[in-house]
Amino acid sequence: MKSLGQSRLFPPLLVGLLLVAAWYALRHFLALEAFRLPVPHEILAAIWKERQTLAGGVRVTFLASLGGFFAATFFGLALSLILTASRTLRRGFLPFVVLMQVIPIIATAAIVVTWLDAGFPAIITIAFFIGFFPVVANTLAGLRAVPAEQLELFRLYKATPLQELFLLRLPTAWPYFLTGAQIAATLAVIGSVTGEIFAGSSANAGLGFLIISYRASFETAAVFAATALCALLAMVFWGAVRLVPTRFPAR
Amino acid sequence: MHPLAPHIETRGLRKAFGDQPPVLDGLDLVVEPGRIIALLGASGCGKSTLLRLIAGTLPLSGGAILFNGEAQAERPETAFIFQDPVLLPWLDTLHNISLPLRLRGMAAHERREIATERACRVGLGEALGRYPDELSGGMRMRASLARALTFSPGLMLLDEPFGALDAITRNRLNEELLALHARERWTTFFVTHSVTEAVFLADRVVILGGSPARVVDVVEIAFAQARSASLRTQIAYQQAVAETTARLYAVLPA
Repeated sequence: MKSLGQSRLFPPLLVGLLLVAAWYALRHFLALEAFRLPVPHEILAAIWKERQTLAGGVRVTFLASLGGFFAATFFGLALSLILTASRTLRRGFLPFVVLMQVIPIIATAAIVVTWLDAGFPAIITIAFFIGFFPVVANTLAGLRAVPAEQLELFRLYKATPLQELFLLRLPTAWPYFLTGAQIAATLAVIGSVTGEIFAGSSANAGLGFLIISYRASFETAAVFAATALCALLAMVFWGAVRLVPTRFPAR
Repeated sequence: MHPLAPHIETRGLRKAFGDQPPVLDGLDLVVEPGRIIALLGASGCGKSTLLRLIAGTLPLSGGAILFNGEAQAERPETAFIFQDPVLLPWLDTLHNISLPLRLRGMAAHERREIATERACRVGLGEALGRYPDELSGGMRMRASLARALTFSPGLMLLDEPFGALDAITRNRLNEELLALHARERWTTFFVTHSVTEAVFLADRVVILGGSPARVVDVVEIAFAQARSASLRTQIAYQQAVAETTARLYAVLPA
């Protein structure tokens, strides 16, 4: 029999239990009020009590993240293919692709809301912006990662530039693109929640909007509940992208 | 004899990369159609460069390559086998072999037919649906060979193709290569570091040396009977290996 230390499940389970115990201990020994630090059973109760509102929030945030994710991967792949076709274009644009990645998403969100006004389109745009540049950076690296001998083989058989792009560079870049898409998947959730905090509305309340409205009414357990659902949503997104096969589906 | 196996002559061949001193200079070589030429020489002496000049994937810096006596002749259908099999990891064996046909726009059912025939010729008929990471090193090299045969080339250029394989697989592939050659008799250049391999395969061993490289010695290899695995155990073969080795060492830099 394997010892408990060698098991894959046991160590994280133990750490999780210790953390929950520390959580309750903190509340008890520092004599904190429930609205400062709600404990897990209070958060679960809040999830149950607010289940309809939270379910609506999950739905809205899911759709915004999905829209932002698909826009980021589609346009990211398209821009990468265009930039690969021309060295001049690539050299011109690449520094700005890198630059865009280091702009804090909060700042981007503020600017997007100025342009598009508050609402769903602004939120999707923010989710798109945050995922777009990691997709471009990864895919471009992949499109440039073709081994020299494979390129020589294509040139030996007089392949056209388009054949080289779609039959060689794109399949080589596929796993790189998927890595970018995985990053975009979790970032899209961060982007849409950020967007909802800036541009959400009670008519179409996503998790980000719910977090600030619960906070305003000191329903801290519900804030924790909505936060936990954000994390869960991001993990589901990431996991779904992980399921895509890394071998390019070619025939 | 392959109807398109070319007669090849190089005259004063010169190749320099950028402002570097030339790799090859004044290289003269005559090869009759259907012959197998082994190219031997020290590492980095320019053997692979010579192969790429003949393939046309590198431009000449000077001199000329004549196909069937003409400098401006249309290049014969040429196949190139690399040190690595250079298979595309996302394609199965069938689609890797048919890749050159696809690049020239042949219809899918014709591609399948030709690629299947070539795969069977190299003994990969059972492995059509397998991916490169599911093949052994020898099988990957066979797939590479089958891909090179798709267009029925007249000129076959091999750049140290079996160097990374174990000795038994390497010997077997040498024998299979000779069997394939016996059927179509391509004009063949075979770059290798192995004297035993060169002597087993070639009608003529060309030794390159010097800097820039030229042809410094040519060893004619003539055996009485058709070559098969049993040749390796014969005295005449051992003697030819010994003589070629001696002549190679005589011209290698100290």
